[in-house]
Parts: sequence; structure tokens; C-alpha cells
Amino acid sequence: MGIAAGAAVAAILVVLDLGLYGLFDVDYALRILPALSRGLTATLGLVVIVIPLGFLLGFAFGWGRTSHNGVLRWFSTSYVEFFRSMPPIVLIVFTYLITLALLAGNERFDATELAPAVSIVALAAHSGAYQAEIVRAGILSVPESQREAAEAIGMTREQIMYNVTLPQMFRVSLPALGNEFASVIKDTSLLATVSILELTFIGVNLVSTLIQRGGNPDLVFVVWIEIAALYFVLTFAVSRILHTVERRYRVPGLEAPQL
Amino acid sequence: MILIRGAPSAGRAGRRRDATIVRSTGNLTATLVFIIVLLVVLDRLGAVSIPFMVQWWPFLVTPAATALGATTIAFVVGFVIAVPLGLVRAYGPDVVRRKAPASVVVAPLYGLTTGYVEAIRGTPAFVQILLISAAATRAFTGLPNVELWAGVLALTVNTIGYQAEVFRAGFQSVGQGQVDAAKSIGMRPTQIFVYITLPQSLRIILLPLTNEWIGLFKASALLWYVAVRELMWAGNYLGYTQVHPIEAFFLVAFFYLLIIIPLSRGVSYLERKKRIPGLGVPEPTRPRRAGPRPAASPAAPGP
Amino acid sequence: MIAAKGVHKWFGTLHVLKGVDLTVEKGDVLVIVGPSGSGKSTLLRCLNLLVIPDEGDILIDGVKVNDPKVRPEWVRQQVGMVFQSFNLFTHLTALENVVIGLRKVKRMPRADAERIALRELERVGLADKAEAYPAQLSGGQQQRVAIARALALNPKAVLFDEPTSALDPESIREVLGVMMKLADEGMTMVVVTHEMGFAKTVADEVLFMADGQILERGTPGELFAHPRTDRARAFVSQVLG
Repeated sequence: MGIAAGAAVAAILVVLDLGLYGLFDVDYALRILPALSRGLTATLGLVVIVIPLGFLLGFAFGWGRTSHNGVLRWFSTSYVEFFRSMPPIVLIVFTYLITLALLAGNERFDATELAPAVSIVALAAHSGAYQAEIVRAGILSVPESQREAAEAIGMTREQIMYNVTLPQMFRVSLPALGNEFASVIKDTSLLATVSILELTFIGVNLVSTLIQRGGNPDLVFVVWIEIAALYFVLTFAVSRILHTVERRYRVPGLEAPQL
Repeated sequence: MILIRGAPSAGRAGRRRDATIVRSTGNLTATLVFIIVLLVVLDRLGAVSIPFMVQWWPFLVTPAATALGATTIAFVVGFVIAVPLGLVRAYGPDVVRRKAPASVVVAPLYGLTTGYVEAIRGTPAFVQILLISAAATRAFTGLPNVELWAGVLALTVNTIGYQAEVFRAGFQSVGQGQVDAAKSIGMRPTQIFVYITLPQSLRIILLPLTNEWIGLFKASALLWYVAVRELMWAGNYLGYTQVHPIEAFFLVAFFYLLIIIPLSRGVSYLERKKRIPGLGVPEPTRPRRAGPRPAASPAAPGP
Repeated sequence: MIAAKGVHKWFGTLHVLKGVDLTVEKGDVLVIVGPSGSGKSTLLRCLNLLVIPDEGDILIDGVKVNDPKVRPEWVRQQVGMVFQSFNLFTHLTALENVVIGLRKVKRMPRADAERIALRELERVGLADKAEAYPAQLSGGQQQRVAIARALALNPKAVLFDEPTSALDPESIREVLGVMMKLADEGMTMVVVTHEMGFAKTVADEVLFMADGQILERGTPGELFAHPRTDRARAFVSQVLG
């Protein structure tokens, strides 16, 4: 922790120094901050949509992966393997293109509104595949004996799921889930390629404006470094929050194997 | 799934099996059949054009090779640089704590390395690529294929951050007892690292490292945005310029799946085969690209 | 031959060793007993410099070895160690475990090293398991290979850190058997253990340690039959029943 803080301070000092030497235009950096924070808010909004959606899918398919039904298992496994093997950018861009193509000229549905939405869903589906694996690992980590014991005292399947399996699963999966959330934050940057408003998209626009107006090309780096710093703050915050939650709910002996 | 049973032992006795091999290739076959049927149906419906796919798939081959090449070069160069960084990350704190004279050099090195790794893992690969491509294309304007090399540079910078963590975890997962034993027979620290830590780590990091390659390969798709003619670019060309997005998607998906799935299965299989009894590794979660990264750090259960 | 004089060790603010003295003569078997947390293992590890004392001296044949000018690796070639958790190198076969010290530390050619290694494995009764990996061996077998590994380097003395604490009764007998044979052959040994039977039969001197100090020392006869301090008496009655 001390080292991290030290590193952060060092980084800020380095940047400020560069600014003093005219290599990093601190002035410009501050001027674009309002625009960037708009992007940041948009990114947060996207994250708030994608993560829960991904979790729903993840839970469904994670459970499906451990199902006794062979067809359900095959379907869930295929889903997970497919979405884990495809680059998210491919999923995002092609769902966008396909939606546009399919709905071109359609009076009922506005393609330009729907296509970005479909891309976002695609991103959620992608995250869902990873969350499915986390959920599956969580389910498997709860020994069969726990379920048997619960059955033996007369709990229904739903009660068992809710009172026995889920609480144990939750604690074990927490670190991996937190990791996944940080990943989603970073993945939202890809939505910029289909012109969805978020942090990277603002960056792309700023850069193209700079180039068109023939401004100082060094400012391009200011833009990207600042954007990277903002993402870093986000992912860092997520991991800190996660740490606190983990500690609060910690049950001795119920830790995930060091992944 | 197809369950293949070995010869049952004497007697029928229902459920008794001697050898049951679950073939997940059965799973794969079922999926392939499903996709082919889907394609044919869609073709009949006029939604996709199989002739288009048949005509255009060779177009993707060279770009796919570019993607593979870029990924592998970045990966290998990154590997060479990440190992010493992993060393610093794994043993740095110890050196400092022991107040060894080398601490003067090691402490700042550790700080820098940690800063680098955290920065890479905490920021989107996409932004890294945009930043580094802008810088590199400006710095090396005359170079032929400068966009490609800039992209490879960005991928390298990215993979170093993740591989360093894989190595760190690998080195640290070798139990203290192993090191104590090595010391007690008179081995020097360098010897301990080369003959005990390294061999044990290598077996442990094989899976996360492969996952890292796969993640890097998926990230190479982002190079499309910075004017590199790789697989995603080719697919986008077919989908957008040639206006056949659905067919293009199928083709691109085929390429990615055909490369990635056998690779990850192959490694799991190899890992199981070559496993030294007693050097197990629990299923690590996946490291990801275009963003994500868990510290792929499986722990070795000690003896 | 091995001596510790006035050894102090702190782990943070915890004073683990509070001025310990001990001497082991060549060919003697010294057994250290005492409750958990008394610092027995730490003391043992000072003798081969796995732990460096904060104060005091460690002497081997009269030479002070906890000196910056002395290479710890040299010390460890003189004094071997056997661990409670065996610590066999998991990626090497039993034979390779024994060979590696000879090849890398003593720089022997492979043929010689393998010859000696096989001889040591025979000595502990495991020549037939030379190609097995540690995970394929039982606890008792692993520990015997560990002993062979320590012996291969021809040390002047061997330290045993609770060598049987992690074993089942049958394996305990196997390993103690090997250790007794070793003692008979005249090996200098320092053993931290809870196996009082072994102490009574084999030890030349027994040290009772508690709270980082040696509270009593004497022959097994003296210490077990007539402990002088209250602490020792309580311990002996508890352990011997």
C-alpha cells in the first residue's frame, strides 16, 4: 500500500515536472478535464448496465454448465467457449454492423438507436461468459455434502440455493468477480469504435479535432495519458472497494484458492 | 457428450464402469454440426450467402497471418523483458527487507516495475494502443509498415505488464521449504533459482502464459483501429465495405475460434499429460485483453 | 565440534532466543526437547545459518561461522539438515534429489554423483525407489530420501528438525530406525523431536528448552528421571505419562 501510494506520488511529480519542462501541457490537461469527465460519467453509466446484465447471463450459463441436463450443459458450454474465444471488439463491431444491415430502412425500429444498444448487449454477453466461469467455479467450490445436509433437514431446492450455496459461493467468487468488473470498465473503451459516448470516445474526438485544426501534436499524448489516468483511478477504486467488501464478509476458512 | 466406456468388468451389474473417457471432442462435433446446419438454414432463407463466404474466405488468410505474427513477436519480446521484471517483483521486497547492499538499486527498480505493471493492468489496452501508436508512428515516420510496428510495440508493452505478473506469481508459488532445503545442501541463491525455482515455476506458469498469448491475440484485433491490416480489419472490410456483415462475422469467427480453441484445449491436455505428480495447479481464471487482466497466479499446493 | 555461544534472536519485537549456549562433540547425539514455541527450531536453524543470530556466535570446529567473511554455503556443506516437511524437490526423482547437491554444489561429474547417490539411497533402504517422484512416495520414504540427500554431501554433522512429526506411526519407526543406524555409525547429530523413546535410547545429551532458553541439560537418564526445574518436571511427566 505504501509502495503504491509512493509510486502514485512519484508519477504525479514526474508529470508535473514534465509540464514544467514544456513536455506536458498541464494547462491543456486541465482545460479538457470537463469534457473528459462527461465521458467518464458516460463510461460509468455503461458499466452499470453491462455488469448486472453480464451477471444475469453469467449466473444463468454458469448454473447451466453444472446442470444435469446434457443439452443445457452443451448449450452453456458452447456459449461460454464461444464468447471467451472471440475478441470483444469483433463482437461489438459486427453486432453493430449486422443490426444496421438488418434494420436498414425499417420503419418501426431506428437502426441508429438500436445498433449501439445491441453492441452493449454483446459486451454484456462477453462479460457474461467470464462471469459464468466464475459462478461455475463458485458453485463447484461448495461441497456436495453441504447440499446433502441441507436436503436432510428438509430444505427445498430453492432454499438450499439461497441459504446454503449462494452465500458460500459469493465469498469464494468475490475476488474473481471484482477482477471481472475492472475488466468490464476497461472493455467499455471499445464501445468508442461504434461511436457510443464514453471516455475513450471523447478522446478520439479530441484527437481528431487537434489533428484537423493543426494544433500542437504533442497534445495528443496529453489526452491519452489523462484518459488512461482516469481509467486507472476507476479500476483502482473498484479493487479497493472490493478489498473492503472482502474483508467485511470474510469467513475464516472460506477463502478462494490463491488464483 | 459422448461417453466412451472401457470393457466392463465381469457381470453386467448396471452402472459399473472400468474406464470412462469423456470425449469433449464429442461436444465440439455437436457444435460444429449445429453451426453448419444453422448456416444452411440461413442460406436457404436468404439471410446469408454461402457462395460469398466460399469466395472470400482466402482474403482473410494473410491478415490472419499478420495478426498471428504480430502477436507472437510481441509475446516473445515481451517474455524476454518480463522475466527479469518478474524477478524484481518477486524478490525485491525480500532484498530490501534483508537490507542487502543491493537494495539501493533494487528498491527504486521495484517501485518502477510495480508502477509499470499496475499502470498497464489498470488501463484499457485500447487506450494503450492509441497512445503508443500515435507516439511511435510520429517518431518513426519513414519506416515502411510503421503502423504495424507501432502496433507490435504497443502489444509488447502491454504483454510485458501481464507476463511480469505471471512470472512473479510463478516464482513466489515455489514453497519456502523447497528453498530452505536447497540452501541446506549448500546451493547459492543463483543456483537455487536456476535449478529449483525456475523448473518448478515453468510448469506452473505454462497455462497462464498460454492464456496470455490468447489474450494478446484477441487484443491484436484492436490494431485494426490504427490501420493495421490484420484479421479484424479484413473482416471489417468484408462486412462494411463489401456489405456482407453476417457472412463476414461467420468467417472472422471461424478464424478466431479455429485458432484459439484448439490452442487452449491443447495446452490443458499437455498440462495434464506432462504433469509431474505433485506439482498441480488449480484452474486459473482467464487473463483477458482489450481490457482485463486477472493476476493469473495459481498457487502450487505444497507437498 | 559445533557450538553456540550466547545466541540471541529477535523476530520483530519477539525475543525468540534469549542467550542460548550449546556444545556438541564429534560423534555425539544431542536431542533438544521442549514445548512448542520454545525456539527449538530457530536454534537449530542458527546452527546451519538458515537463521542468522542477532547476537552471539556459532562455531564449527572452533571457527566462528556467523561472520560476514564466511560463506553460508560452505557452512551448510559441513552441516546438513533434515526438515519436518521433508522438502524434497518435487520436480526431481528421488535419485535426482540426492544427485543435485553433489553435482551443483560439490561439482562432481554425473557418474560419480550417481554412484554415491545410489549408495546413500541404499543406506536408507530406498535404492529401488530411485526413479520415483516425491509425490509417489509415502511420507516415511520421502523423509528417508531427504536423509540420503543430506548424507550424500558427507557433512560433519546433520541437524534434524522434528523429522517424524509429520509421519504416521509406521513411518516414524522407519525413519527413527535410519536415524539410530546413523547414530551407531558415529554421525554427529542434533535432533529436535518429541520422540522421547528415541531420546532415551540414542541421545548422549538432552537439552530442555522453553521460552527461548535452555532450562536444563543432562544425560537422558538424569533429565527424564530426575528433572530439576519445575517446568522440566511438568513437561517430562506430561510427555512420558
